[in-house]
Amino acid sequence: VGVWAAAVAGAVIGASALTDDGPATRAPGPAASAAPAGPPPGGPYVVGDRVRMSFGVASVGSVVKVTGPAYAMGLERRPGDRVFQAQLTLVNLERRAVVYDPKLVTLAPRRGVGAVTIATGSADRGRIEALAAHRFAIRFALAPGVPLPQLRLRDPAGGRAAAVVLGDTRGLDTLDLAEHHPAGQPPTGGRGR
Amino acid sequence: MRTTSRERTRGGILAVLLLVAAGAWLATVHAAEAAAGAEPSALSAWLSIALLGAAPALVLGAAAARAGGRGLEPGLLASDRAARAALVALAAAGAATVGAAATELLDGGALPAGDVLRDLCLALAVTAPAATALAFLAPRQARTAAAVAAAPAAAPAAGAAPARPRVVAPTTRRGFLQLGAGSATTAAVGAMAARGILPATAEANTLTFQLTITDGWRDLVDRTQGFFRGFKVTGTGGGPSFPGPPIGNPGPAVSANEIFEGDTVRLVLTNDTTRNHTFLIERTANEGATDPVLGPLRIPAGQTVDVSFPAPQAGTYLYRDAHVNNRLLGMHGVMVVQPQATRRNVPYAPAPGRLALPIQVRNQYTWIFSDYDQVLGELAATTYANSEVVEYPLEQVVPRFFYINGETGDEASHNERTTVPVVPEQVEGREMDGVLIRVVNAGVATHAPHWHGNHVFIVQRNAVPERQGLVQERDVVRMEPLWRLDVILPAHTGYDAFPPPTADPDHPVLHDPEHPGIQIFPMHCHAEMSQTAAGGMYPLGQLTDWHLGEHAAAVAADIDRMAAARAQARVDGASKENRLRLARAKLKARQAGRAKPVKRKAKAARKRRPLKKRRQPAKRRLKASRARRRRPRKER
Repeated sequence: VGVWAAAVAGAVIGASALTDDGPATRAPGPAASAAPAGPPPGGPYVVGDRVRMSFGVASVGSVVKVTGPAYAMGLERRPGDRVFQAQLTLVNLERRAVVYDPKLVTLAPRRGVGAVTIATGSADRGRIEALAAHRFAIRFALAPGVPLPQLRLRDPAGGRAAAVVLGDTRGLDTLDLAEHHPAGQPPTGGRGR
Repeated sequence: MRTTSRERTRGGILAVLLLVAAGAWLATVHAAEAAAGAEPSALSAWLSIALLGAAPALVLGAAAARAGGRGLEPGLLASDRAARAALVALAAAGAATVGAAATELLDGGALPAGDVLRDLCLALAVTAPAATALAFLAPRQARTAAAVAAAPAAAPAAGAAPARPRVVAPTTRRGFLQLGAGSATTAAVGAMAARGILPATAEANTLTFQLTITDGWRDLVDRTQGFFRGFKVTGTGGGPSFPGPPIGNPGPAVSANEIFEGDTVRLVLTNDTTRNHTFLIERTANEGATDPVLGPLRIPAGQTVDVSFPAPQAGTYLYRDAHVNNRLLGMHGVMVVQPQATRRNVPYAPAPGRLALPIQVRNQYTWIFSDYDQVLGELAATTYANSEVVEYPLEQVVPRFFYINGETGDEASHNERTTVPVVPEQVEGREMDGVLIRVVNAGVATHAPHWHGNHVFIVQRNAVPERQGLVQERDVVRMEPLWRLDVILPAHTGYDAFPPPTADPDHPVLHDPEHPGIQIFPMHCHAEMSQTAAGGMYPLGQLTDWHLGEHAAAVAADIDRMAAARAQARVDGASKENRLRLARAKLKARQAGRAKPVKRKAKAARKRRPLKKRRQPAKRRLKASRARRRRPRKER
């Protein structure tokens, strides 16, 4: 009886191993979503949504909490302030250069928001070449306990500003300015790269 | 009851036969469970188990025969027969387990007690039914002299009434061995054939792959959206896979959809878009169709094209839309053809003039390098949504996202299912072993993958094996667009490995408490821009790792750890998305709530106000006032 019980157990183990495609099956590449993941018409917009602009598209990408040495922050902080960074990607679909003045980006409400810097990188004074994408880094200080403000984006052609909700401060990834790793820690094999 | 030496020998031989069958089953199950090349090939494992278990089988089988008393003599009760069969089965299973354990130890693996017990159960699953069947069936086939000779001995004493005992007919040694050998061979061959482990047959197969051309949006690593055109498996939901579903087996699956040289490949291509598209498999690395394996086929909008073609020479091929911008938007994938002669994990069959591969290739992986330009995606989604060709000159394409198998740095370095080779370290003094990596550049940028830890050997370029004697050892490999290079990564570290091994030369594996028994080496692209995403996010570009395991148990634990980390990342990502959706809903409700509650409040207040205090419309108030004035003073 014992031999037969073990034999049945072995048959079950073997059959399950042969039918289990887990490790032996290659998953296809990640699939895209079926429908355009757009915001509801007229907003409100959240991180990742595509905001239509007269020249193309703007979208706010990752929002991270910035840590690291104070000298590398690039802005003045009051004691206790936390620093955050949002990335604004601007895609110019026009066949001519456009200027997206950093002043068109504001934070609201202003209560509790300290210093703000907008780095345009190589896009000198916000000039984006024809058929090109560019990223602005918006870094701001926030008083303790104050929730993340909204990012207001105005179209250079005029019209009402689009408000983009940045979410809340819980669970944000951390950008350590000393290590330059977006997720706060390097991937497994990051040592020595 | 004493047993004769002949019976003990017979018990031993029977155990060996059962061992052969059980070994095939064990090797098959181990091969099925071996993820990411943790096991050697099933055929060699089978032979190893059978050879290493033969001696124990002979000894244990004889012991079982002795313990069970006389063998299959006439007059034996059925229950006794079953008990003796169980003993022989146990002996054979034990021998198979010993053989499997010895094989594992020789491979440098660990031997947990649980695994030994499990292998014993697995082996019994074959030996118990086989031994029982032999015990009951063999005598029916056999007849004969032994039976006749045995009959007088079993006859009752003179004068006694002949009894009708529950007996089974006797057997002969020849019949017994014939049936035993036949059963064992059938079981072994059946098990191996079921998993496709047998050597190649001359017969060619037809393999069908059904792909659908579609498009859709996808989250990019900086959480913005990108529009992709691509392929998916017909009948599956969602948008395109990125890259497209593989045609053939790109690894590291042990077996799945293999295409061998000479097979017929049937493609059923459905165009689910409003645009016409093309489909091309080009033999060379040229942009145009100069020596096509297939195509360029025209696939009109909304239609299906069914085409068959003979599998070309073994190698790695790229299928794609013939238009470069569509390829860059995601319309590409690999076709992997394996050599008929050797069949497993090798880039090509040995032949005169070809580079010889004196190496055991444990597994194969395919790394598809792709890159993505958001401007191209936006144009495809908007201006050229219904146009096959996206008018965007190649010199203007500036990719800002770089992928390996559709994933960027942090994801790609945790994906043991498709990307990260996890290899048990080569045992010193044994045959050289490693993994085959098929590197394909489907993008627009030239890449330069650089392996830490060891150099790689280029063995095949664009489905053409390297020449005999041309051994190219590289730590950085140049990859032009459309190039396909097959390289062998040895399963050990080089002298200049970085990160460096520990100071202990006999134990060159990092003792990282988070990854015990595992040393992790990165692979990154030396074209520096492609290590980043979205114009600067490092290390979210073309990076991944390869892992070297001290032994098989460490390799298995490492694979489990990566799978768990990936599952946790999915949970965290979903949690973030939920929080964002919640924030959007709150904001929407707040925006919508500004107008409505005011109206509702006003209406409710009016209802609550006493009737006499309600404000009357001006006309009614005036009318009432006039009526009051007209009434006589007395009434007022």
